[in-house]
Amino acid sequence: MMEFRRDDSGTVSAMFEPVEVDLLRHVTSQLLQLLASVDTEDAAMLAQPAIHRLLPAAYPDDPEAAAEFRRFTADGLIEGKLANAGALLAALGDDEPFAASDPADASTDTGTGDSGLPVHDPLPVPIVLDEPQVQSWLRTLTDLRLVVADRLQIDSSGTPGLDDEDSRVVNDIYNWLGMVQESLVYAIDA
Amino acid sequence: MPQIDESTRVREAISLDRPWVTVVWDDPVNLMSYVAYVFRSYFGVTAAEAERLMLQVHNNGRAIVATGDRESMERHVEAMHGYGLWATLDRAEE
Repeated sequence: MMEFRRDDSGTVSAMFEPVEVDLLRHVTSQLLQLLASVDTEDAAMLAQPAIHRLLPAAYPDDPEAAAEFRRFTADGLIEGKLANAGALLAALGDDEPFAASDPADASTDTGTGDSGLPVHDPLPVPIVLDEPQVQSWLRTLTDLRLVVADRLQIDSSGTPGLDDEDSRVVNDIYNWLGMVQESLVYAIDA
Repeated sequence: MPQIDESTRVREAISLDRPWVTVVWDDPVNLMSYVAYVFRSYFGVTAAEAERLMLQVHNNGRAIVATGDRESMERHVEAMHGYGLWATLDRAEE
């Protein structure tokens, strides 16, 4: 990924590798599913660590006040997070996979060449964001990192608690999401 | 229900004498640059003040980012949750 830059009109843009677009689309789709599954009246669900970090207790020492706060805010917050994640997906363009990264995707990929190998579009993809889209991206990248951090059991010092092969891949994704977000912050903060 | 009205009024009168605060807590996930950006863009503070608050969160584990009535602080906490920051409400210390 090339760094985000802001032009004179305030539009922020960067070039993404096709595989990065696929990756971001994939993790954001998963976040959308998670958010859509949240029942804000289900106390047990809200207590799950990943959900709890997305909707923290506003009154940590007063469960009653915290529940009251949730009653008034949780649905709206989830709605906002869903809208932001949807905006991120929309900015990535159509949902044709650029590259089939795993065999499950390959079966649905129509772009198979004579060699039997998937046809890749090797060209970087321009991602162009206006101001509202930038806000949606910043928030969604945060939500993604919060959920992934829970998956990796990242401790208070920022160290992942899991170090198996899968988790190392997920940790790379976590760091990459942070890089994208930081690049976006620098582009609009400059 | 006059009785409820009365007790609510008394509670609100009591709450007036001690303000509430919005507290943002350190977390290992959010980037320092993002946290400073949120403080600057949401609370409208200068870049230097946003940086100071962010470092306070980072170094002390928490920072009071706003003080005022309960309703306003609840609005701020809700906004911080919208940004993905870990924020809570508390009574201001005496």
